[in-house]
Amino acid sequence: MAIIVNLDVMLAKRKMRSKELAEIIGITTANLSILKSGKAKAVRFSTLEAICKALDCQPADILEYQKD
Amino acid sequence: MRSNKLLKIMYVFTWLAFIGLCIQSGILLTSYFLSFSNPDVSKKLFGGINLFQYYNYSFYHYSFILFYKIMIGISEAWIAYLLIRLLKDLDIANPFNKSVCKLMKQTSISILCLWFIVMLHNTHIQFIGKKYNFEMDLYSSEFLFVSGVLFIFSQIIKRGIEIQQENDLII
Repeated sequence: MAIIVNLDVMLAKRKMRSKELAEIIGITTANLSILKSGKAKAVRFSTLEAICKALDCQPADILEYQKD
Repeated sequence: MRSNKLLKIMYVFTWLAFIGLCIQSGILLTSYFLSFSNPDVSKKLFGGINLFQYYNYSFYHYSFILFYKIMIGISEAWIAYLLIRLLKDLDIANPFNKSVCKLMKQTSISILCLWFIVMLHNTHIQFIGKKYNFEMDLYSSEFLFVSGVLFIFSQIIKRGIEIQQENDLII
């Protein structure tokens, strides 16, 4: 997939667990797992905003474009 | 896409069904008028239907039974026409719009009317058949017709399931 989700990297940098982040941003751990694994078809701006706020980062820190 | 191909095949079949049903209704109507002067016409109507017993028993009963058969043919042709319109405008990538909803609603109401006519037809024939020991000729091909309609609807719903699954993957 061309868009890579680097959520795992940011979680490791912030030393935060997935469950914790899911609770803060108000989504289920199952949905967070879909997002982390790159299976998600789209990300809502509100979710992205909540993740950036919780991890104190920019969208570019989480999402990355790579040529196939 | 498999659904697209299946719907194109169904579009051709629906056109064939529509033409066939129009011809059937037209021939039955013509036969009815011809049977005024020649009762032998009622012996071999369209599709090998023999209503001569009913003709001899009562012309009114014969007229009613033939009227039901013509009405069933016209109703099925109308449903086929609605399906042609539905399949013509249907974009399987984005199948859910007001036009499709309206046509599906009209089709379901038409099938209900068809069921009502078939029930009247079957009850009438059973009533006469039991009373006067006539050979019963119950109409049952509408089940095949309704299964075709449901198949087209199932293809639309299949796309709906795909869209819903995609929506579930929006986080």
